[in-house]
Amino acid sequence: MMTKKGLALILGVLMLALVAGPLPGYAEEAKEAYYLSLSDFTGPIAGLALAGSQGEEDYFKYFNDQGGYKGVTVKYIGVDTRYDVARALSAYKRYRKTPHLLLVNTISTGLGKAIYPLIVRDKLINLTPGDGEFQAKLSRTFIYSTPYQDGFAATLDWVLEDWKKKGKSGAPVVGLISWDNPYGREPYRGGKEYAEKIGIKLLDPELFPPGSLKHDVWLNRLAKNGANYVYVGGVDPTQTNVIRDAYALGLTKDIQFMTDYWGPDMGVGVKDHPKELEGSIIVNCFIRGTDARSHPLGTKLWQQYRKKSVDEMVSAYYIGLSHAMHYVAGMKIALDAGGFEKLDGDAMYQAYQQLHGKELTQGITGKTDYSPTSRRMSRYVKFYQVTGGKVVPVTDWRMAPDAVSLHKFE
Amino acid sequence: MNTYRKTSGSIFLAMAVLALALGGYVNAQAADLQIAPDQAAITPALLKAPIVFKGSGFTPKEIIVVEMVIPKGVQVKGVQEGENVGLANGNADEAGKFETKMGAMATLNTLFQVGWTPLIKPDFSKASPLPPGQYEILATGVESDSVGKAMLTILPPPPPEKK
Repeated sequence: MMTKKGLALILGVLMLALVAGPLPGYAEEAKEAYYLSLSDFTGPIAGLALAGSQGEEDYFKYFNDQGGYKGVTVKYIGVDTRYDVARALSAYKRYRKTPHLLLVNTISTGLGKAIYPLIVRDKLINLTPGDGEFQAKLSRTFIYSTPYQDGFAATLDWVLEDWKKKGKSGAPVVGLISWDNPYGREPYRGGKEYAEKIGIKLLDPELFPPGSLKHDVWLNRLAKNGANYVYVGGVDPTQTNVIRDAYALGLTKDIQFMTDYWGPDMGVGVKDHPKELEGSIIVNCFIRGTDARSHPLGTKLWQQYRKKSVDEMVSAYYIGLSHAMHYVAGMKIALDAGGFEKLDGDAMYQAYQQLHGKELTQGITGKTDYSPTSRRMSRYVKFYQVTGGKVVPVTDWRMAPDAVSLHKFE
Repeated sequence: MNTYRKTSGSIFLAMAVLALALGGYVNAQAADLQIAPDQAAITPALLKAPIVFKGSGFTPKEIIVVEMVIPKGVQVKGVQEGENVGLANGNADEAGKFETKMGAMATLNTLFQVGWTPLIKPDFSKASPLPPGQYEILATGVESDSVGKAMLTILPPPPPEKK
């Protein structure tokens, strides 16, 4: 039963609305599509995530400054989750009913999985890091990189080439050292099967707690077990510190160290430990190092919107640009198909699956792979090497093997 | 033409407000929330024995988001003024009940408000713990919009032990 007080309140609001007239901007019919980034600006992986989020925000500013597309601009909503699922869910709840919200980017697989039931219910799409499970089980979650196991498998191919180039006989022995969490184990979910397929002996993974200051125990075990190559996971400066310890132990003389997408950066680890990192290999699904610091669009946006020197750039800025460029490309397809009125998460879901085979990122990534049967951002990776305090490309883009399909995901 | 547009816009807005108000009034379900303990000092003990949230009166199987209402004047790292901060999440069971605890990340990020080192380690030297006081906690069912409310009291830190 409604009380008199409640009724009076409703009537009051009603009167206020009538007196106030139309909402500001109502008559102008501003057309905005929304992008929600559940990122990390002050938490444990802010060093990486913040640069990525800045890339997203800057590309959308640039797109909007150019007038958008068919009068539609993009509103970027960045949320600092501090890498916390509870904060991410709270933020998602706050924004989920925003009209024309098309996509939600989650900074970790855990966050993505936590909000996924709501993504389905709200008919949105989700972008998430490189867990191959999202390729194995097709859904509304799109991987924003080349899956980790595919990148690892491409590195195994590089290892075989390098081994032969050096005139070595027999099969090389490869080890993995990474964080003791699902991310750290992911390269082996398909990567292990791929190694068997091409005749590489893989050692058991050496996993350590995030935050470890020294890595001697795990490195010594890899060396004792005969590793010729070691793949290092984490987020820089983790990889830098692992390789720094390996250098101090004298292991970098005989073992080739390699890292994944989040490895040594010219703005982070390479700056502090160029000598120790010399010769290390980095596999990546977006440009980094000297490529990043000379990319026309990326450097222009960095200087225009961040007002900083290119020397301060962190490569992860480019994965953010890639997210935003894919979003804009998808939005254009959705707008062409149904106009602004029908621009919603479902339209974007359909549009993302039509991005296959397109060059959308001005060379920041390889060709886009999203399709009805692919949730991979791209199949392509590029190899870099630390040389004289710089990260320089040593290959062009090359297609990574499909390691995801080799693994049985429960 | 312009007047007609403004007037029709106003009527539309007013009707929408009325519908929302009445809809909210009719649908608002009383959910229940309990916090254990409902009084706590911010000490490392909270990492070993985290705060537990229990509730009932939700739609079966729905996701529950537990949030703290940040009082005016209180700063929480990463949270903008006027926003609530997530503390925990859970799922209602078949009977619409849920139980969940505050995770270590939420305890570190929101109660201790630690900094983080580049090596993913909490940095207590940069911590700015939530000030003592009374905080309203909301548990919201994301399907039903049912809300359970309770108060959490943050106590002043205990005096340091004498050596």
